[in-house]
Amino acid sequence: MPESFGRRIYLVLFGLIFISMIILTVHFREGEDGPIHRAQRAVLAATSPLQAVVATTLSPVRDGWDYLIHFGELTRENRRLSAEVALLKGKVFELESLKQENARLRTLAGFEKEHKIKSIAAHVVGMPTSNWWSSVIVDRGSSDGVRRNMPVLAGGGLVGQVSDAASSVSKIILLNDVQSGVSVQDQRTGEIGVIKGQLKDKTLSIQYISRDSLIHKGDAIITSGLGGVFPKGIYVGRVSAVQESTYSLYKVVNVESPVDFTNMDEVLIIDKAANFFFKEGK
Amino acid sequence: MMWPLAQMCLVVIGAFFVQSAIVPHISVMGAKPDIILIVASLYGFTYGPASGSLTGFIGGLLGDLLAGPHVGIGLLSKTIVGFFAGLVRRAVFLENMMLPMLAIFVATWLNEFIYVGFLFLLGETVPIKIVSLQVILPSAIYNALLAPFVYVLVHRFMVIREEASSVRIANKYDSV
Repeated sequence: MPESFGRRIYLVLFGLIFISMIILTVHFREGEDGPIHRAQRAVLAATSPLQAVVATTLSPVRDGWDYLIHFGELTRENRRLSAEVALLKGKVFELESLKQENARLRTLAGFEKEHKIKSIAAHVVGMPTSNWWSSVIVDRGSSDGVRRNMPVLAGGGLVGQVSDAASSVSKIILLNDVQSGVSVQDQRTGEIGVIKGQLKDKTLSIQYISRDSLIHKGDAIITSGLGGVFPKGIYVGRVSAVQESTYSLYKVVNVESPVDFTNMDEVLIIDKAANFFFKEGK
Repeated sequence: MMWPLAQMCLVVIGAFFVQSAIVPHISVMGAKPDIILIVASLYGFTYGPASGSLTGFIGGLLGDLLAGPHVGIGLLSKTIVGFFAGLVRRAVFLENMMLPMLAIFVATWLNEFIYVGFLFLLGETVPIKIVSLQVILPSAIYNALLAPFVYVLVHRFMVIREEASSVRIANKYDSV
């Protein structure tokens, strides 16, 4: 494609920039069934088979590499987890007796609670492709009942929500994406904030927590149920650090999620959740 | 003109599939290379601004449709980077790979700053110093290191045989 430098190339540039601006504006203003959103779903459907094949092919290599790299760390973690399991077993017995007592008291009080949690299990077939955005592609779509905004769980915690659903695949915006915002609350104090991902290092932090807040390291964070997308009581993570700034009205609260966002195989898409009780790591 | 354009489209689609399927598995410390950007820059270095910007446009559009929540930002940044890559093509000799590597390192910074600029316009809070050190710098290094390998893969599609009129006349008389 040889070409001569001249005014024509600037016309090409400004023409392409003009078309880009039109596409950006149309995408911003159109609805979910607009042409660009439909094109996004088409691209999602077209790329997911190849992503799945590559992910399946590279999975043993990645697992082997991770094993070699983290062998020492795994041994230490195994010891630590064994001790933790022993401790948790005792807590399980304690909770079981409390549960039975709770059931007896509810019966006495005439309460009837039903648990209706309809979920769709899905495999992750595509990992994030960009440095800026955190989203994964899963092998379940609108034909399986997946719809936009459904909450997604994995590894004992909240992962994110469905942002787009093609017929057989869906895109999930992860909790640590900068665009994600989920209303959460501290389980101990009841304080409410919005958990967001950080652009710099994809960590989680809660915004709008007042300077006077009693929140501290180790508190469990759950969804608040505000906004209507996420049911109340889904475990999100634990507070890993609380920082105060002299000039800010809010505290900076960092949260550690039980989910490894960089290495997920299966997720659970929640279809309908009534009376969703907080269960950490289950 | 049509065949080189079709070739370019095929190369960009190939780069897009590599970006979507392979790149997520080859991230180093969270940094992912941008194959589409490398290809757009290489087209700019080889054929000039119009080709570079058109390659960036098509590749950016595909990339945005797959990953970006704002379809159009990556499209804009890669179009502009492809264009600038074309403007400096006389200073970048692809035979000596050090110069294109350096140029792609700079092109990544330009691409990401344009991207960040538009994110800022759309209301995103971008801690520029931290993002520069933790996101853009590793990606720029990664892109620069990958550039020779990408070039080796795509340059065979970028060679366009242009026979001079004197060669065509000579061939005509040879066949007689």
